Amino acid sequence: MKKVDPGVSCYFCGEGIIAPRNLRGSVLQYRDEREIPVEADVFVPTCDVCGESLLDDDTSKALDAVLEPAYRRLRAERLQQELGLALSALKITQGDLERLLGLSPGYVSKLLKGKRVAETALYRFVHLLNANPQFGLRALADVAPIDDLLAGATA
Amino acid sequence: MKQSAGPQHPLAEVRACLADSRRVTVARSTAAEMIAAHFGWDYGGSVAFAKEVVRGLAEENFFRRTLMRDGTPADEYGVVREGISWYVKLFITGSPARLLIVSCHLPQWDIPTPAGIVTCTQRGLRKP
Repeated sequence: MKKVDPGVSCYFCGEGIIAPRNLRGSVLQYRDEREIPVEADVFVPTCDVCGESLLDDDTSKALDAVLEPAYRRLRAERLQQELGLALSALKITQGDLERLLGLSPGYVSKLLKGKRVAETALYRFVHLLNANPQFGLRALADVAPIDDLLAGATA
Repeated sequence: MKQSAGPQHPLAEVRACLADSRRVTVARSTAAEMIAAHFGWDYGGSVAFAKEVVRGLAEENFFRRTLMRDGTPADEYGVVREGISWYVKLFITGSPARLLIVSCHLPQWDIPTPAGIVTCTQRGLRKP
């Protein structure tokens, strides 16, 4: 599977050597997450100075196989935390939160149980909502039929 | 503006490399991860996309010649693909020849090409 001879000078930094290196233990950007840990052995041609790696079909698939489970687990954990914060701050039920966010009934439950991985837009929106939950609730009331939630929150 | 010479690596040779997956590599941080961040794709999808963008390059997309930090000559391109502007840097090296797609990401500045100006503001191709 070796695509680059050991000892190739790095084209990117001009200082290091690009050779197959085990990326286990490193942290990589993956999909739309900044930091996903590489939790298994995966050998990728990588510069020992700048850290740039060269990917081909095989190495990219090998990286995906290692990173995808960690990505799904971390995304689920982070979303569960965000949903929990929103429910707690707004003092509403899961059903209320589904109405607030325009989600199908039961969807929040599936997210909280880790049965679904949320789309990035939802994950980031709930994170934004948690920055100022009451402000978010009032803003959403302008466009969503959630007057009862607003009344409850301000009562 | 001074007219630069054409590509140092003919697109015919680039396409010959693309025809054999063992002769193509894609830089992780300056190509695959930037595509991944834009679309939310995994590395496999991002590497395949980078190759598709390069496969679709034409002479009219050429921007200028450049050098890698180690002195390796490379070519830069700008192209609009499905309404999205892309900056591409690549070179061919070794024997047998191997293509390295150094960069494939949204441009940070407007890129003048014979086809027009590839806008970094994602407004498509602007005719000069």
